[in-house]
Amino acid sequence: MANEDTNKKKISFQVIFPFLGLILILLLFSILTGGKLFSASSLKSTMNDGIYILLGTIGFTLLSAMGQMDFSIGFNMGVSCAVCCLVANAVSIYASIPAAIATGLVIGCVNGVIVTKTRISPMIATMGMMFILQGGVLVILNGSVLQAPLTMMSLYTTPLKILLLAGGIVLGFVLLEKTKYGRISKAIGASPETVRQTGINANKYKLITYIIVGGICGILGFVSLARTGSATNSTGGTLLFNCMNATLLGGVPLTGGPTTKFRGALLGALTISFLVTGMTLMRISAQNQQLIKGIIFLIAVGICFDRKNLKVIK
Amino acid sequence: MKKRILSVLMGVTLVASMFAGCGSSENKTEASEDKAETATEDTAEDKTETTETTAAAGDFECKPYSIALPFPESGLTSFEIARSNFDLLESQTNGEIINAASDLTPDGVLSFVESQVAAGVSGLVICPPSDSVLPTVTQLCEEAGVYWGITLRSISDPEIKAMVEASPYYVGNCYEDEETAGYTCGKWMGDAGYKKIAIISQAKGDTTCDTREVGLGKACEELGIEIVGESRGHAQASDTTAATESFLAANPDLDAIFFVGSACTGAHEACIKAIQDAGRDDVKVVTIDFPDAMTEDFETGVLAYSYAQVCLTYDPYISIIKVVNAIQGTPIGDDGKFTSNTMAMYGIDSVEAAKEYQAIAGNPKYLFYDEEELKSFYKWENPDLNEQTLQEMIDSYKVTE
Repeated sequence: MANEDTNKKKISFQVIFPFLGLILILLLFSILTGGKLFSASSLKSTMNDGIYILLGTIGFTLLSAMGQMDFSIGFNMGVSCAVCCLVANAVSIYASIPAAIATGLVIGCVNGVIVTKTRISPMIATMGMMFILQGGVLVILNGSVLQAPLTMMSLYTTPLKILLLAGGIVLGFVLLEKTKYGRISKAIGASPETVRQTGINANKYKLITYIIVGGICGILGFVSLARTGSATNSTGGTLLFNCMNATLLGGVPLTGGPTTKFRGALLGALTISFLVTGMTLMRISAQNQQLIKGIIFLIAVGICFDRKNLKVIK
Repeated sequence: MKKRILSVLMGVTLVASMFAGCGSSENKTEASEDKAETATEDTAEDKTETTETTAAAGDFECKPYSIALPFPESGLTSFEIARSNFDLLESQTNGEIINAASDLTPDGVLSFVESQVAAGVSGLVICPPSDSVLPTVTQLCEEAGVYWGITLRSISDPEIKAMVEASPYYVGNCYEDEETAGYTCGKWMGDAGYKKIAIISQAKGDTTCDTREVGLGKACEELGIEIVGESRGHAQASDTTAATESFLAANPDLDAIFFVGSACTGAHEACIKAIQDAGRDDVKVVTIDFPDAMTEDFETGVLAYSYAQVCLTYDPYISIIKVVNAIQGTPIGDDGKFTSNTMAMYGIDSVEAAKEYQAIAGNPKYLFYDEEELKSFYKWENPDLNEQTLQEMIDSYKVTE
């Protein structure tokens, strides 16, 4: 009985910790920077970087819910951005938007097919895809930087950013918390075998999720091009690490299952975004920023990691 | 109960955040007003102000400022030298120069500009990886009233160039004559009898390396040099080792490996070691930009020639001086316009010359200009300072005790 109580307390703290982490960071940096953290320019900067982190983390969380993983999201974004740039130059900037999304969707679909049909571990399959895309982006860009028409940057407007952020949050929440898809995703994460025995086609759900994540990468590829006006071989290079970091900071279990909550993705993405902005405002050196991020990451993972769902290694 | 505690915590946080925000609003407004005033005065009344400042040069009082540079301190000697020089500049002009974290990707540069503007800097110096980020940077800096300049790069795209140069907040750029640099190294290799070379460079699209390669191409055509291999975009020294090993394995008659450009610490040394390990003493290394351990590299007998500006961080230093002048209301360019300056470059081809150079420029406390010399770079002290005289001062710069 006493044991059960302790466990409950621990779980509660795990749930509260991401909230506390975000609150602490907001409070700390708003005081230390004299309120600059919430200035218009600071919020704009946070939002611009936050789009990548938030949308990417939402995708990563959808996969995490079913115990899946996609290491190729960064380079999927890079390839989508490169294709987007090619189409923007060759056809029109408006045609480049569906081109980017379609590229992301196709890559996501290939990932899904490999994982579900060949039964290769998602980690290995998507890592392989990552290498392919890394080479692919070099081939598409001829190893160089490709510049989009200057009008491309006129698409990167505040309403678009708000639409993407709000749309991402609403769709992500509804998908994961309010639909059959979300419930089955978590069930797959908890026990794929049980789901299979109930007659649900788990592979179909996995495939759909990889395609959704691919689509998100395609959108991010377009966003990157509209923001910077160029596609480079380094586009999307930091996406994977940031999303993984945000997912774990939000207390989302990588093993999946019913403890996966959408709020975790949101809290983790916000925490990372404000942490980076806050440290920059504080003029903390690059080396110390890395150090701080690493320490916070370890503490967060130590507290939030869902050990309950870890499978016993035989 | 827990929900209640959580609600209270969140409530307290929100209230505290609001107070924190309120606390700064006054300062922020003041700062904005200051900037707005400065911008208006600087752009509309530059001529008048410059004349007035000239008259009162002796008792000129510098406004406090902060300028961010996207080069975090790396521990390399050239960066330590930069810091020593920044310290002197800061003490003379009442400012702060920040070595900020940034990766030199298009997204990285824009994040750097946005976050530093949010942090309230009064000036920026950037090193753009491509021209396409410049319209956004121009817009962000104009909105925030932040003066900015470009270091180590020139603008290739004519449309973007015109757009950037029309901005009253753009102070100009410093760059090397990259094509000449590439050509000079190519010619040196041709004169040394090299016929087959491999190159290590940045990813295509890097304007600096692309231009260097144009110059190299001309020299190769003139002197009959063949480029038998190329490797780009090295992120770490092990990439350079792997590339060197591939070059050596694939080309038994390779004469040299030419570093067109590399942003990777220890790359030159990794290449030299790979050549030594392969027992290929016939293969030489030629570099643009002086390696940090240049003397030791020459002593191995593998490094044959190195061509660079006097010090890697001299260019950003001059760019910062331009921004400082603009912030103080005395822009260097006539009528407050931008200035564009090239940096002098020279070659070293022996251990003795490398030792002589490093005896001076290998000292982290080395100053490009002493206290008195530096004052001639402030327009309020030196009214004759303009694009041309600045260029003359840069051209006459020598590494001396």
